[in-house]
Amino acid sequence: MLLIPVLLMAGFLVLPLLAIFLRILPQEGIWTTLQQPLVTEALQLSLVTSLSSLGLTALLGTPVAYVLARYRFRGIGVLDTLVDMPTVLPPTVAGVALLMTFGRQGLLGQWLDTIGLQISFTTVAVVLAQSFVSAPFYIRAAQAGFQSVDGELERVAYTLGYSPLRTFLRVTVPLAFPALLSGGVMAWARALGEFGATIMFAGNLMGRTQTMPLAIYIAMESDLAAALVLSALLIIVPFGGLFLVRALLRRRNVVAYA
Amino acid sequence: MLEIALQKRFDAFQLDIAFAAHDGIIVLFGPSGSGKSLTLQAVAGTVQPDSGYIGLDGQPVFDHRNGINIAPQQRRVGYVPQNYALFPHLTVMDNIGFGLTRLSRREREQRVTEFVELFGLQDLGRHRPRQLSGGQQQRVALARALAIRPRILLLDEPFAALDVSLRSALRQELMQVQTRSGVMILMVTHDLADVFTLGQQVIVYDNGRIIQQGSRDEVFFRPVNERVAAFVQTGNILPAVVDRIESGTLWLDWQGRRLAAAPLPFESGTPVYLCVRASQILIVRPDRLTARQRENLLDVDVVGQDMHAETYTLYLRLPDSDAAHDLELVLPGYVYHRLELENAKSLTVELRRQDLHVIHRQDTAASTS
Amino acid sequence: MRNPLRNMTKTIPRGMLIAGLLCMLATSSVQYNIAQSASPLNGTLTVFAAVSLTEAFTALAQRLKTLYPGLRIQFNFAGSQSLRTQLEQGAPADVFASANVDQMELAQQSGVVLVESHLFVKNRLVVIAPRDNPGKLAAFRDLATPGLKLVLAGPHVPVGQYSRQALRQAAADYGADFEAQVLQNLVSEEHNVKQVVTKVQLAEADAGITYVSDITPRIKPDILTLPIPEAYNQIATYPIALVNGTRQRTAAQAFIDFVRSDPGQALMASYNFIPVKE
Repeated sequence: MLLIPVLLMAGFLVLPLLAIFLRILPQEGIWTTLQQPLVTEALQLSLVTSLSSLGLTALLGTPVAYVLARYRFRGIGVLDTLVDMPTVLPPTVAGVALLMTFGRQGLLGQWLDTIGLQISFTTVAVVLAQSFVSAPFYIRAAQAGFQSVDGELERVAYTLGYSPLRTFLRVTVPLAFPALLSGGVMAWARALGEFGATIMFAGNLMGRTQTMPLAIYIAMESDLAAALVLSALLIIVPFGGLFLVRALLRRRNVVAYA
Repeated sequence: MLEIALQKRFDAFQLDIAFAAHDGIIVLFGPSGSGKSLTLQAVAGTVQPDSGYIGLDGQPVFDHRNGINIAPQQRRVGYVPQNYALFPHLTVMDNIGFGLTRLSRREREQRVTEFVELFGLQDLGRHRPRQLSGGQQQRVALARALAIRPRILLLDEPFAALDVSLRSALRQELMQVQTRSGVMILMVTHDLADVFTLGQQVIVYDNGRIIQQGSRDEVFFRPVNERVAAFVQTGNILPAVVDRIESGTLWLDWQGRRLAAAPLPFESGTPVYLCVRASQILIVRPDRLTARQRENLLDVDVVGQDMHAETYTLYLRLPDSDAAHDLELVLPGYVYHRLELENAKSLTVELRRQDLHVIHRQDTAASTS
Repeated sequence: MRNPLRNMTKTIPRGMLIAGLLCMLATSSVQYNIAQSASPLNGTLTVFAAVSLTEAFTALAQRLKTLYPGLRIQFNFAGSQSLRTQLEQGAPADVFASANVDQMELAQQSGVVLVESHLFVKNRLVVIAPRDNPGKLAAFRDLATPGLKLVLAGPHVPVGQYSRQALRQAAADYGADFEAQVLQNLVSEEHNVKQVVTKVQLAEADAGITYVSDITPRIKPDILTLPIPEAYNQIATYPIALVNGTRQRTAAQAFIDFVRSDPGQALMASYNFIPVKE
């Protein structure tokens, strides 16, 4: 009896992905399509921007996750809610919000403009848009990871001569690592697939701001083959990343904590 | 050498303690939540008091008035928390060597080997903590703390997580460690057996304050008030009234009986508690009654018995009393059987004056005499 | 536009409608009266229309409602290439109005519209800039100024195609590099013309090329316009057709007929479109 809903759900999740591959494979010229600038530029841009936004997220998000995991102070509830905001915001709204902030007439944008810095329509804007929507995935996972590390371990490390930073790097991070890694993968996948905020805030120009999701959207209306190939890539790349990470975690013999 | 005086306020609790100790094993004893662990953490530097002073070997590590608060990293204390906090991602050897980063690689290896051998962990060096038994984990935690040659060893309930049968062996081991290394040990426990075996100096905590400080014997046999008496399981805390002092004897009225105790400067009519441990009440055999001068003889009825692994407890009541029982008496099994007490209905018991410890009693306490 | 005779095979009310329409055009009367129609039109009509038609068609629909109170018209305004793709993917609709002939032909080729289509309006291009003119544009030629932030619709969007054609033709006066120089300034390719308007309105971009009809009263305060010299300005031609498989054929045809009628054309003209004279 349990089999039926399981099969239904599994089918529902797998079939759309299969459908893309089945549509492409019979076509000749996949290789040529793959080599089109539309595809190659989008792929390259997507990889560069998604990895950059992952870096930015990890850099700024790790301290936030640690604070949320370890500290209690007035106002922490606000920080907590803020971290959730991007996930409940529709991406297009996020894009509009970013535009209103960093756009030429935006809150910060105006005086960035006076010093000659314009963010909208640049690759930086793409990274910002991706970071905005994907950071919460990493922060929440990292927070849970840090919380699972007994604070007593950190305190003992202090008494043994380790500074807080060194303790963080040698004790907390290694023990929280599986959570950090899977949080990173989720954030990266979300960044890779980001569309609404990007098209609003960063615009759409091949090689500069046209990431894979944008390219797919445009190509749907002009070149279906390219759209399908890009879609297939956008399935393979995150999946590949996920498998790699899983394998890595397994090799490390994910430690069970005492 | 440890000098400590600290105050810290929490929402529902205030910690205000002060004591000093020179060396050896100092036991902090008292009920859960009385501030013992906090004291330890303050010495370690992981908790900051609101005010006070903590000095190790004459040097301040915390001095509120002069704005000194040395980070735990620099205090050179060996801290072993209740759950040992071994690093799960490191081997036993890496755990032990964790605090030895300032040493050269060679020195570090030497020191780690020294302590591995000292604690009998030779075959376990490359194991992870989760592969060790409780006793082994505790040894690793101790080794790790001692490897840095700390000025003081701080142990938080070191035996609480271990089987009772292991504990007495481990207590002996700990004493050997202390003798051999000479390091001062500050140990928190709520287990009376620890206090009795290890308590060279005992500091009794109650609700954030120290209510008695002294040697093991002082605390056990001469508790300073009824709280301490209860903590050390005195067994018989009897409300009585001072009658008078008369040439070398303190006469007390208890349940209508006249009892003689060692003289103390109490005024007539002062309400007191008479403390006598359950193992200190002697059963007098009728045929030995006149063998020597006896005082404080009581005829009692046996109103209940409890059997334990090695001892028996007898519940005794004065014939004219309407309490459930008035005295508790504990005796070894062989004595019980030799005296054939299985069917005893009434006994004569003796309270030796040197076993009677008299302390003040608050008037507001219900008086039953 | 190929086979008007096909319609003759339909029911009587249909025939009367066509007859009435032809009569009206012949007499150039402004009255559009279908009181003679045997059955009133009701139900829901779905119209896929190029986004530049937003304001005009919405007003048109309101006018039609007064004539056919039972008829509900719902619109899907998007880039013509978007709409054509949606139709090809099976989106249900009754009428398709495109901003260029290319998209209509593609739609015809893939069979999503009935072969007959009619040109119903024309449009012109215009350059727009934010009110404050951060790019300091004075003429069409200034689009080649290096460092200018230009937004255009993408090359598959009708207005994007027209824009590029205009730039290409301007080479005659501004040199062979003109189109390339202008396209160097491109910072974003939008997927419909309203997106271009928005980016300029927000002053995110220094300039954009849209249709004349996009200069609505609402956005007028925020932008300034620069004409494109007649020689290179493009005439955008808008075809309209019935969608293949429509279930509201009568209502759909009524819509198309109204658009092409005098009052319809007058309405389009009031929205800055160029009427089609048959």
